[in-house]
Amino acid sequence: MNNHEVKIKKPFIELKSITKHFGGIYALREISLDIYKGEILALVGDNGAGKSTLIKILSGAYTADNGEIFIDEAKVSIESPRDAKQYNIETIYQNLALMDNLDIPSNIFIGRELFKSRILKFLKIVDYKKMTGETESVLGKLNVKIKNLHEKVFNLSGGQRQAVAISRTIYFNAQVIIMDEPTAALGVEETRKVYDLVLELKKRGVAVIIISHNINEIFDVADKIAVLKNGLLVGVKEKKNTTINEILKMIIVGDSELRR
Amino acid sequence: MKRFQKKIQWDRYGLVLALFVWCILITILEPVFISSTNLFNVLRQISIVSVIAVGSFLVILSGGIDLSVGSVTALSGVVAAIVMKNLNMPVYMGIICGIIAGSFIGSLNGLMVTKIKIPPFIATLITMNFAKGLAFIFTDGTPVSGLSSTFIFIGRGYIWFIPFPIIIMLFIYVVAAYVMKKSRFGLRVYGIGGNIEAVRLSGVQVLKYLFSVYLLSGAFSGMAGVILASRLNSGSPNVGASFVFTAITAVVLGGTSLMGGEGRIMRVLLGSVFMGTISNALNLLNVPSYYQLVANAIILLIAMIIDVQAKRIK
Repeated sequence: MNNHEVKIKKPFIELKSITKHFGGIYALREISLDIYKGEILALVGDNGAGKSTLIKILSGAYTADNGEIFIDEAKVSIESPRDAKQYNIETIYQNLALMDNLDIPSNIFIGRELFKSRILKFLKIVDYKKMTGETESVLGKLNVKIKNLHEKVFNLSGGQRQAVAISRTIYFNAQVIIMDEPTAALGVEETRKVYDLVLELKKRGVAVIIISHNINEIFDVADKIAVLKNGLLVGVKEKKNTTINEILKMIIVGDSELRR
Repeated sequence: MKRFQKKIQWDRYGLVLALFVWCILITILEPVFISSTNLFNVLRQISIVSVIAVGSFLVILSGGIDLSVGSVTALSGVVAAIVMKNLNMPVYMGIICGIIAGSFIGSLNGLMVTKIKIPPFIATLITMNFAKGLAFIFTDGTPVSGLSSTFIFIGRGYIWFIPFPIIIMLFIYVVAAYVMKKSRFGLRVYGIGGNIEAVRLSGVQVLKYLFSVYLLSGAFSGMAGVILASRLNSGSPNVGASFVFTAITAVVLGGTSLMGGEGRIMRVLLGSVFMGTISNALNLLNVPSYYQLVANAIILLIAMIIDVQAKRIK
């Protein structure tokens, strides 16, 4: 990458020397990573490599012990999920973080409900009708068809649940969407649909970060692949300049340069 | 598919149907049951526990439990009576102080659960004894009796031909049902009962809501305490021991899941009515009151069996 290119495309998020430890154990050590809009970044590594910890720091579930986060070149601190949402960073967790007992609109809007403005505002009366309408349109944008929006999320298929989780982020103008194992519980067809959604997000200029165990799957969809091992960043590779075998080697052996 | 649909229908109307059949059964055994005087009696008798049950419902819906409600009811009645009788304050101050006393214990529950992270079961067990102790300390163990006739109206008065406590109860249920169905508070408490972590990750300050739920439970017990003191014409530290059981049974009988997140407030009222008709029927049939406890125990057991079965089917 030459200087000219760097000038045109600045990273949307820069992580600098992020470190996190739990007790005496380092979960992350000096991780520096750039995230660009309209780009799909895959985060891979063995169990315990630090992938989940890293995205939790970005999404406000954990706070880093050391290091800095820049968004649009401004230094920020992300202390809670609320803060992350303010910076338009949305996360879709592995267990999906949906409320099984609520319907689809409630799941999409909880925490940012729409209210009826005519009835005394301080009562905070939720406008379910409006929320349902908005849900319909956002699902439509993503080409997701769910017959009954008032179905409890409990009764939806894995792919539909994933679609609900994604719609939630889209509706609130996410600029960065973090997905933790988005296809772990899905069949082949549903997995394909979820990756279609991911490509749709990319088209809309969203930065997507995906954690995955399935290298083959992620290799198809990602633009860049970042490999973590034992809390260290082994390296970041552009897909066009690497192979699945090289990535696998990085995951298992770690980059020899770093080890020395 | 057809059988599945039948299941849902049974879920929805099972309780109503059971209540209906039960009422017919008692009427056959003792026709006095169906008289309007007796039915009003039943409703008046359940009004106090029903008000408590609104709070218990909120707490259980959020995935917790509140064992302190009976003691809080006693404490609130005692505080209201002392404020009016011993401190010579006006009736409205008695009512307010009674409710504040309940809310205070509720807020202690809320603080213990949200700040110190004590499991609700233990936190409310602590305040159960604490509140009871306070009620005895404040009164030296003897009821504070002989309250003003204005105050007595709350528990004994009538508006037209309807006992006033029934009106209070219905008013509270209608408001609570509206809030739980339509408001942001309702939606979020349901959400918290379903998956508290998910609600937290959605940017909601869940601990604030958990705290409110315990505070409200205390406040509703406080209101119940005021009504009870008025009805008894005295603030007594000895009352309320059975309330926690009856309130929780009404909530569970009304189809509220003890795991949280599932339940409807109006069905709690239905559960409470059911409990009321059972104790009324036993009275009418001259069954000794000791059997009442056994009957209540069996009802809660049956309600729990239904609850557990319903989950297994899912």
